[in-house]
Amino acid sequence: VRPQIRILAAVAAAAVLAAGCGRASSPGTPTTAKSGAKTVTANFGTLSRVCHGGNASGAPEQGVNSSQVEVGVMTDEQYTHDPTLVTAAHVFTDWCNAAGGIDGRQLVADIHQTDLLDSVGAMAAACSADFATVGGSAALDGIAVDTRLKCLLPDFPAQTVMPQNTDSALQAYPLTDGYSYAPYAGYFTWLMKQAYPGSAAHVGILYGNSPITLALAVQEGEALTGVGGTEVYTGEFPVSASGAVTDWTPYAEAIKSKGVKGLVFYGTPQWLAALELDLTNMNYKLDWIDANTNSYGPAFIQVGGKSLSYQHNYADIDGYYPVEKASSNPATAEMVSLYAKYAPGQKLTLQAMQAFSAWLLFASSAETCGSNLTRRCVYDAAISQTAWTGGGLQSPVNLATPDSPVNCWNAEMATPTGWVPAPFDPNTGAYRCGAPVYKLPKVLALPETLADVGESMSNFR
Amino acid sequence: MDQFLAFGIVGLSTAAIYAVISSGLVLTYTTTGVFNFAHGAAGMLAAFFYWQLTIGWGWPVPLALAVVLLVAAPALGLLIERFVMRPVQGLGEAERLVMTVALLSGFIAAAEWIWNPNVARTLPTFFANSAPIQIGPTTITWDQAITMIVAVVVAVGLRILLYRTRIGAEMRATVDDRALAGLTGADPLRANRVAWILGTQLAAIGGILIAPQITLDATQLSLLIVSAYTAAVFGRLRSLPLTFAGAVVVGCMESYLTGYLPSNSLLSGIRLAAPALLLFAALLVFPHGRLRGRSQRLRPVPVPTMRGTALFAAAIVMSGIVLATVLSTADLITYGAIFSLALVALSYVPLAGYAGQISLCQLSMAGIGAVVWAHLGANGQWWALAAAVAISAAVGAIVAVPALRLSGIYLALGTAAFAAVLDQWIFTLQSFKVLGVQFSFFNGGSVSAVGPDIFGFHVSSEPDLMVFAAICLALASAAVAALRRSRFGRRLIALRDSEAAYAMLGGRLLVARVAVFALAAGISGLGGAVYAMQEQAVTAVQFSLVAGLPIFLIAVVGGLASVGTGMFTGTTLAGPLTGIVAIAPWTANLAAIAPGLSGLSLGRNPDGLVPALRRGFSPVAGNPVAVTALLVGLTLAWVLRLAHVINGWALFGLAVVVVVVTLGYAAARQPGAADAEIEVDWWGLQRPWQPEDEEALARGIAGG
Repeated sequence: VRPQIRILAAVAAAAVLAAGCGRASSPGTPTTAKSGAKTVTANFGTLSRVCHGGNASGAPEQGVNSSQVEVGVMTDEQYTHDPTLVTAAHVFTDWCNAAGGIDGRQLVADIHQTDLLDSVGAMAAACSADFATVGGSAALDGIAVDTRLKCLLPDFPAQTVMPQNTDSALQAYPLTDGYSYAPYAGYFTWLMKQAYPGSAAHVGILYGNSPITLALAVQEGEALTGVGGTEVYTGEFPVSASGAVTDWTPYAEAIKSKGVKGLVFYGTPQWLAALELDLTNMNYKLDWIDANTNSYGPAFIQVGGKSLSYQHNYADIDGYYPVEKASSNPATAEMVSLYAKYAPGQKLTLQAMQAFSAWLLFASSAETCGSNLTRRCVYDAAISQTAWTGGGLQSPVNLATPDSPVNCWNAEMATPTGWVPAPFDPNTGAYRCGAPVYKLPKVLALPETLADVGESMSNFR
Repeated sequence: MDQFLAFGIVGLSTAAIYAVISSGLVLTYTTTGVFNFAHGAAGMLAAFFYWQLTIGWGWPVPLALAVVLLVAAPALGLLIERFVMRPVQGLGEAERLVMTVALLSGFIAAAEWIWNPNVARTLPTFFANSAPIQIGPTTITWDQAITMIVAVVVAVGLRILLYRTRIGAEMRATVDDRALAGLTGADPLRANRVAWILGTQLAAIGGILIAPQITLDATQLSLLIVSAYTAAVFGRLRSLPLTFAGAVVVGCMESYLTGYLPSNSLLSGIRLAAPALLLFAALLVFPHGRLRGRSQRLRPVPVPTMRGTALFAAAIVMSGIVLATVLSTADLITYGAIFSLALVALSYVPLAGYAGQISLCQLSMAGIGAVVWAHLGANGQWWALAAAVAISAAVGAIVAVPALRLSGIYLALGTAAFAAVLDQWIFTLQSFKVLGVQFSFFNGGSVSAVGPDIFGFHVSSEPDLMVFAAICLALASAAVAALRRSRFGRRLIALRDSEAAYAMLGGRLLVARVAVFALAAGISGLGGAVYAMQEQAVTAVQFSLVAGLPIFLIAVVGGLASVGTGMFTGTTLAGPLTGIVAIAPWTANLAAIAPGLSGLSLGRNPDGLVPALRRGFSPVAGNPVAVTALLVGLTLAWVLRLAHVINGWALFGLAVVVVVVTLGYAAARQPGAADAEIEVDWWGLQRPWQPEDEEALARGIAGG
């Protein structure tokens, strides 16, 4: 729901570096011979036979032949130096291919580097070679949607960023992110009404003014009011290419002087840590700070310092089972062991789980198509899932109606030793379901449709 | 009242940071005449190095501080002075400015290469465990107090150094008149060295003080640009007390706006654009006097021949056709930027090359062209392209009017401020209404664009758009060449040579400046529109101030006075480096540093690389056999590629071989003409007198 804001930090420097970076795609090579492991099947959590050997043959679609299925992975890795999505792709394909692949076809991840500004070029490369795009994300994903729709390429993203891309056509996004609903209605209601009732009349929001996410941040502020909060402070800080925050103290002072008790922060963990240091030094303690999903990871704990014990930091983690509790959830535990086996030394992160869920969705949908592996078949199979859980990695998602409100959610809280589940009264397993629904009064930017590019579903086969 | 006081004190703590940064900027500028865009980046490197010593290797803080401030920073300053700035000392303002842009880009790339940006790093604040100081309604941490104290010490120290010591007087004398300072026994070189050492040390102090308070992030620390610049401009880039006052004004303004500006979607951007707006205002209000450091020799602007221009335009179109036929769809989009970026770079030729006006907002103008095209030309209406050019040109003219008072570095800063206002405020606006008309720049994200309909022909496929972009560039290049040959072009060059003389001879400064700004913005706007067509959708980030810096960098390296610079810049930015990374991804880090290194060639080719390239090719042009061989060779390679006998890389390799062989052949056949080696005194005697010798002599005498 909330885009990878770390990427946005990188956007700040935009093309000082991008000038020297070229779009490169590196087709992976299948790791196991087709005949090698036909008898094995790969199950994941509650999903059975995700990958297995078989006799699928023929070349019904671009990127598919008798021996392999080639899918594209969009990533800013070369620009941000963040390997999460590439690692997830390698772990999944290695594991899947070791079990025989998709009905005997080896799964090949074709990594497309966007180098930040060349999303369109990267997508065009995927258009010319791949069967679908899977498990990817790019900061400027919104500019590549038209290109993807013109070539009728189905997309199974790990994460979406710009509003033009979220819930766009031919997309199977394993996350409830209805563009016309406020995604954090349940979480905010809990914070303001139940956990800290005194905070509802004193909430504030502070966000970076990146043109990419500004619209989303503004909508989030609206949602905060919509579920019963009273906004006493709205702040905007520079993250665009010609400015950066030199000093967080004025923001901290503003938060203090407006008497903000609950703060929604929309930026990187490092920035939040710097802001909280100033708040803590002023001896100003808030009831809660929404540190956002981007802070859910070891980085925030490392940089948080003394504020971790002084302030109350929370994060809604989009209905994914928390990583630190992996041992009590079979699917998460299985993913941890897959990482230990195929990517030793790499940490499992929330974004990696999101990517994995996208890969699982793709593979289990493709598996149903057999020899006749077409884009339409995979897409239809994916959107027929009305309660997708990624084998147990996450709370159920209804892919048939992408524009639907969040029903189940969960939240974490930061402590000096790490993130732990917050006391949010889960009622369905690790999640709290039955979240209140808040429909946004006005949607600032609509997702792209096939009609926008002059295409229709009848051409999608 | 308490609250007002609290924000005031907070503003002072921000002001201290700006004061430290901007006093370093002012020191380098007053003594070397270089406005250092890489000042923040040098501080960033120091902060990272300090982190490496204290946290990474566990050295004690005093030792680490001593090593960074007394060894590493001076060494870096000396290296910059010796290898980066000295070679361009005698060149123009644009060239010196661009070297610091190159440094900025190189430093960020190097830091990201050495210190993986995905590892979270923190520097502890100084005296983190001591209780903060309570001052009335607010608290000041020891870290902030130290920053303020350091700022004051720096200001006082610099004042004493510059006005009370011999080396200080030497440093000030050097920037006023290098030659004269040298004659009186001062050592300009030593003064420059001291300035760079001190400047880098100040940057290091700033970096180490600021990094714990914000975050150890290479780009963020390097780009604390506009606010600190504003403070420096308050001091007119030379008065330290006024710079200090400027820092207080900017710091307090930001603080009070944070506290008191009402929340409103139209206004919230103002808080962020405020430093840039203030910078613009400060530039316009404060008298700047005559810019100093005009000691560089003005270089003649080459006059392109009609034949040469026609050949060049034809070559551009041919290369567009060749690329359109050999590249895949994806590559057509990636490399398509060759021609559109070339148009943006070409806009620098009349503006900076002919008229001598440095603008850092050319890419923003391209952004305006792109937005206009995307909205008005949603169905490819041909007139929308004209509208995109016209509206960009109009915005360019609007920028030119207030900028009339500015020149040189001040103009560069003013246009940078304009670009920053667009980045921070205008381009991020959601849709809004002004006088009943609905405006929406980037639709809260991205806008889609299609190809144009021209004379009933719908240019929509990627290859068509590639050829279309090449034709646009060819026409614009020819127009700029024609401009050089026209009366207006000669007037612009006169304007560059001396504004006073231009006005005295009856030229109208306002008209000439507005016209050339509008022309350049129009060319840029065309580039933006073409870029949008090729990309199919664009977003604001692609047109930011920082994204425009590499274009300016490469255009200067290419040579601002040559029409070929446009094509050179586009090709360099979107071409070879991209290709190299595509073959060998491990070269990505090297490629990221390349634009920074490219600045180093300026010292060797002060006129730019394009004239050097042209000189290299001139033996071929005069040799019919070589020309034929070149054309036949290239055509053959192209045909082989079209027939799928060879692949794209083989085509590229073959083309390189053909060019190298014909060049070698023609050079060997060249009669030993060594005009350049004949001394001025013997012109007309040892070789025939040439018409252009008269201008060369006149300039030689005028330039001293």
